[in-house]
Amino acid sequence: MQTKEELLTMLTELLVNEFEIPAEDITLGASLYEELDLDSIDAVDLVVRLREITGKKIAPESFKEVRTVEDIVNALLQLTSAA
Amino acid sequence: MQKLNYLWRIVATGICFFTFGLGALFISSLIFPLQALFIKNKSKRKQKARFTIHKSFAFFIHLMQCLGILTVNKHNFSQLQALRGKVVIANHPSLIDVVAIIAYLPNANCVVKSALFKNPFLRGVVKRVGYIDNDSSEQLFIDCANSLSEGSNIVVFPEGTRSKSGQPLKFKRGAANIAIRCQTNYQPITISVVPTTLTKQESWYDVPHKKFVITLTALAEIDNSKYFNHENISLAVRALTRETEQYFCKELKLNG
Repeated sequence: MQTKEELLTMLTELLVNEFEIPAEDITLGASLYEELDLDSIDAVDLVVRLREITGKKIAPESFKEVRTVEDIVNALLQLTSAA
Repeated sequence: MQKLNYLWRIVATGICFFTFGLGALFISSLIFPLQALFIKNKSKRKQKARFTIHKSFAFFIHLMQCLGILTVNKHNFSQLQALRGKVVIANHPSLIDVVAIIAYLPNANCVVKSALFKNPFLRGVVKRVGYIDNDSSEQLFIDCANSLSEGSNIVVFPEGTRSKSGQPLKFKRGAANIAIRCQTNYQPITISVVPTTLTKQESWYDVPHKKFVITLTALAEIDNSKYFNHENISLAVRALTRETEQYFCKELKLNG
């Protein structure tokens, strides 16, 4: 099982490399849609990539309520600890 | 005399808005049901409905010209008569841009915001002509791919809303997503409205100090194929969005 820090590092790397988001903008409190300029299509792509990386089944619905970087990390934390 | 012309244009603008709303109601409550009654084939019916909108918008633009509200200049529009299966992108200075494009472009389909499917005047129209709802992204690409393969052209304003006048354009990534995921080229159209009117900031009765001129210029098709097999689609979409944004700023002489 991964720690919160490890998940944040993994997510940051993904956002920087595949969504062109400046690393310095990515903080736990950053809002995905306003501050990080992601759109609803990116959100779907992000879920797909996270599914590939973690090997966990992530239902897009479980991401509907996600608003910040921390929300994603917590959702991942729940998934990895549940297994 | 100038004052009189100004007052006339306020009245004429009011007449136009009224006509538009009434026309939309008339078409959706009478013309479309009649078409539904006589045309049983669903795809033919949709085509007929779209043709009706094409002609009604052409009539509406004609009406505005006759009432002396605006002048229309078109450049290279003859090349659009045979356009099939392309994503048509344009900047969005005013409320009538889409009316003008659909008036002059046969086979136009549109991606419209979900709110229009709830607007009482426009709901009947957007449903019947098969316009595409931007609500769910998965369904959006399926609908776009189907529409493009039928030969329709999909009109998108990449800014997502009307431009802020005088400022560099800021494109959202929806248009690039459609073009890349459906593997199709862009047909760019630049639109300029002088003096500015019917912008996001103005009310309908804020008519310009003189009759306005809308200029629509069809530019050369943009080949998007270098992005189709890119290994990362999010990056490809971002690169294409940036490229077209700069292209439009350059063509419109806005410093981005």
